[in-house]
Amino acid sequence: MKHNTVYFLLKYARFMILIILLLILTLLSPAFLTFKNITNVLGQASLLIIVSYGMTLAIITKGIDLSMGSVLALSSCIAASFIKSGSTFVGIAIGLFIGILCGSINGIMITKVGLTPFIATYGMDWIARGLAYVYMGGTQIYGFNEIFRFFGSGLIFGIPVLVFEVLILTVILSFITYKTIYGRNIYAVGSNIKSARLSGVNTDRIVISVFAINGCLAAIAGLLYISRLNAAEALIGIDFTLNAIAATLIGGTPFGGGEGGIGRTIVGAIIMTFLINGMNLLEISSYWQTATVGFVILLSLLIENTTKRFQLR
Amino acid sequence: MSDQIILQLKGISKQFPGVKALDNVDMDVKKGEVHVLLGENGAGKSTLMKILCGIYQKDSGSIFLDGKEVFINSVKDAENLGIGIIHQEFNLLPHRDVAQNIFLGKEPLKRGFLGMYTIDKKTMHSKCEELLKTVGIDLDCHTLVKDLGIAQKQMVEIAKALSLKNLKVLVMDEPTATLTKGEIDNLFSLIRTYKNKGVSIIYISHRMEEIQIIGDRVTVLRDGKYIGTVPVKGTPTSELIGMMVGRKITNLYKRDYNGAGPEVLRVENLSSRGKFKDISFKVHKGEIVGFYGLVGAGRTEVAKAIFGEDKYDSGEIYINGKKVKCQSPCQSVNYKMGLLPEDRRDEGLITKMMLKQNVVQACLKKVFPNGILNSNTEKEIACQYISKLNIVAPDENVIVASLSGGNQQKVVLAKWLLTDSQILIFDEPTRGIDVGAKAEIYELMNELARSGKAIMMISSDLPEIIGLSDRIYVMYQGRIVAEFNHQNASQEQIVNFAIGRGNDL
Amino acid sequence: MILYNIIRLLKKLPGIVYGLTIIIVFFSVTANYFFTFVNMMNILKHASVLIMVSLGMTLAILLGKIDMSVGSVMSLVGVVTGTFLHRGIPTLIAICIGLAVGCIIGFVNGYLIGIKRFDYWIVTFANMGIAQSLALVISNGYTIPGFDSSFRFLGDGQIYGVPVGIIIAFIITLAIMNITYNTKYGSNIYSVGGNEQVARYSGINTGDVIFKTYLLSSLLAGFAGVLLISKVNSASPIAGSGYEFDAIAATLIGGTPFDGGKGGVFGTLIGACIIATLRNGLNMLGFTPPIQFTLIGFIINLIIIFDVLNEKYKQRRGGVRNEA
Repeated sequence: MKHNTVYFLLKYARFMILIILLLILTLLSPAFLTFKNITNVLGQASLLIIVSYGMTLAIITKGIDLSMGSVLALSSCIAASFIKSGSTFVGIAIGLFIGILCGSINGIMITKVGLTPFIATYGMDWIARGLAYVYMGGTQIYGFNEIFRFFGSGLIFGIPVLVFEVLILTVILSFITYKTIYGRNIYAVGSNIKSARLSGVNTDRIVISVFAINGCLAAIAGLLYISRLNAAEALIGIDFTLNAIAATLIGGTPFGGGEGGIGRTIVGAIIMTFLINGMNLLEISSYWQTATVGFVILLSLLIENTTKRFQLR
Repeated sequence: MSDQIILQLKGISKQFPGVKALDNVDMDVKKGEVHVLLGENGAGKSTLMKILCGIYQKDSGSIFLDGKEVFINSVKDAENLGIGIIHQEFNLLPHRDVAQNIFLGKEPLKRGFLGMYTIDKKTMHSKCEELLKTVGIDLDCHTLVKDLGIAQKQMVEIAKALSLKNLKVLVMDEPTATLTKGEIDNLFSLIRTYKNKGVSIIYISHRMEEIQIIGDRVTVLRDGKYIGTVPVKGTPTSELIGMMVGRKITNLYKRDYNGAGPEVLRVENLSSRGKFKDISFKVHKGEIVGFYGLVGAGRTEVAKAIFGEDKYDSGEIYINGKKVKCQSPCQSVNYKMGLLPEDRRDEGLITKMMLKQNVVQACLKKVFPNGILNSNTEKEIACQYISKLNIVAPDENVIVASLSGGNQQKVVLAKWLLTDSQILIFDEPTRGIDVGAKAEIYELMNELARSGKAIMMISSDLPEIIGLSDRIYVMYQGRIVAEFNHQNASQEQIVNFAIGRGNDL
Repeated sequence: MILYNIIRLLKKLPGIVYGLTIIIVFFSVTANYFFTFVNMMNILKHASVLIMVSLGMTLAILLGKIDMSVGSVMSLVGVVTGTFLHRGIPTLIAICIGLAVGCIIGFVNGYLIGIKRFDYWIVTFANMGIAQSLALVISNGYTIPGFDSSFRFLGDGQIYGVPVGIIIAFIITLAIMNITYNTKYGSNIYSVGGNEQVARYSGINTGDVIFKTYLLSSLLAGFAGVLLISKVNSASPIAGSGYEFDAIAATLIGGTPFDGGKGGVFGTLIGACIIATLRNGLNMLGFTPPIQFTLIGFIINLIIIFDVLNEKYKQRRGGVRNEA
């Protein structure tokens, strides 16, 4: 069953696509395969990677989180005002708190009220965005202090700090999801929530905490974003949701839940980033980007569908 | 009823993953007869009928209607041939009205505005009224199905099946399960009317007294095999039960009845509105207590309520003498209870995970006290159980979705054995499992009882229940109606209580 | 016949009509210039666009699914039509080309969801991005300005003081109402949305129904897009952005819940009017669009939560009925 060549090809399709992409880009631009450029691209990808991790966690539990972009904006805008007025770490703490709060509300809506994740997070998306607009009143906050700016735009040994931060986050999240009881339960809930509950897992707590973590990740991404941009405004993060879904799907975490993971998503996010990077190099209008992401999502669905059919043989 | 055979099923076989549901089944139905299809839960009756009605495809065999071979590949095919079915579970849309449901997919059309075809609602409703009158219920065709009582919904289902134009064969799957005596009388006179019109009726039911009243002949299935066809008149109920159950209770069930220990689980007056009422029973250490009953008797509901998965309205549960109220399964697990659910795939296993991961799923904290998983530990534990329970699998890394039913059940058992539970609830432990694996599971259960576990076993397999249980409770329509000891348990008595005839004995 | 149906439906939906009245009264009292002829005309013009796009959304929701791409389709159709108008193509043909392009998106949605059985909101979500992108590419990011008066009549003109747009919207609503309440196809939409398996067991070709509905949804979104560019006299590639949210809101308020198989387009008509009035009124009171999003989002969430809890409560009480 599993020794089918086509199945084999499909399974490793992603890695092959990544390698092909890298080859093409190297051919197109000699300066591509340099240390400086690669780390630069990875730095740009960092924010998408962080948000994609959150999306992946939600999708593993057979849910979705459409609110990450707005929570990102809301938490970072509120944090921005505190950071601007001098209390950097208080600001960061508040930002994280807002993220966790929004995420927890999502989780509670899903488990206790019984809304589907799509509806709950869609609603939160609009509310958080609106609150961000209200809070900012149409203005921007810019010009942060050195310490804060270091997190997003600093360099260590010539490598963006972002890369290190993403690395640390990857290690932590991978450890939690692949190696701990909590992580095991997340997958169990996503695969068969009834079985998990009948085995004694507190499924409500798992779902709420996963969404709370998402909110936290969105906040982290937001803080890094404004640090990198050196400005905060209410409309940041609007296109993150679609790209994060794309990265997760391309990476190989399917919507059925209970499968996939952090490790796969990072591949997906990198493919996405190189794809967009490549389009820029080829001077394809940025207007095509959303369409490309859309096409890639549909393509992933097709691959996923076909793979499942070969698996069942 | 004539002697002309209108429907013939020859050599019908159907295989599902892990179990052979039908094995070379024959059946013939005469024109205008009421032909009863009898058998225990899992005997294959539903499967056979679903094949006849186009919902399943047969693996082999042929079907002849009016002497000609026919091929039924879809519901529409069956309907076109004049074969209709009234399902046990309602096939209705709750938010649409009676007429729309009855004519679903076959709405009468008329030419309307701009030459477009629109639904002729007037004709639909008047035809509906006619039909309902024939069936014998007084109902406004404009009522939404969700506002109907269960009996009325049943009637709509019946009307829907009767709306077929050239109805030749009508299958009724447990039609009287929710009807009152008066409604049943109506149904029977309706059946007689259609009999006289030459329509043949295949009637699936467990209710012996009904079979005696309305049936002409009875075909008995057991374990997917055809046992025989006998006329209703002249065949005593005991013989029918004998054919249904048949297997001699031999050493298939090895039980060392080692005297019950102290009481471990006590349930008093447990009630849940609409599901069960006044349930009281005890389970002692080292005992296997069996629960027998028909589908819908309420046994699984009781089990789920005890396990904390479902809520109940009143009553008390005592574990080891202490009163407990489990709001969720995780509390029950803490009290050392385990549940092997009826639906192995969706409720017992994490289907996308490996065997070794499933085995540790119920006691992760115990196996990994510091919260960190260890693949090797899982492997060791899993391999232990693979050999102990004789699980047939390529290795401990296999995804459980691809295991056979019997082996899946063993994995679920392994999971709970690992937790060292003192109370185990088995819900239909050997459903869909072949005989060889069944014997192994019976042996395991005997072992468990011997080692002091308290076991509550729900089963629809009568020999299994009689062969394994220390004591047997019989449930009927949400209540416990009888208790038997393994020494004085008789098949006929148990079945009689299960079908509600207990008081007649 | 249709009039009779409307009157019968009116009797069935007092709730939201009263709601609309209350909202109108509230704003008339609190905001200056709200209850003026000019402002009422504005509301009706906005409502006409919203009604049309909401109709498509309602059909998708009746199926038990959703169409997230309607907003982007509006933008796309607007941009395509605008481009062709500027090239001197006759009005009617330009509109047809625009609608055809919109229908391509609907075709893809319908095919992937109905025939290939892909997940409905990933597909429409992805197409939302694709359509939006295409709109930006075709217009090169610019807003296409200025059309001639014969075209502008659609969105901006009046017949005996009633905006043309609302008349068009009303006629189309009647047509859709006829389809959903009277035709076999319409009945099938309700059946598939109610319980897809039951529908299939009764011989209904569910894939076909789903396919047609998504096609129709995009067509309606296309109409909305045309009306919109006519009204504002320009075609912006992001004009439709956010309309899917209002369309969902209008559908929900109008009494068509997410589970499918219940409700109807007539309610959506009222729901769209309510949303349009709300936005206008909040605007007049000085609330900026972002705050409007928040408030309306809040109200929608409350309605959904109330709806879900209500269903749960009814289910628990329903247990009594099942006792033999």
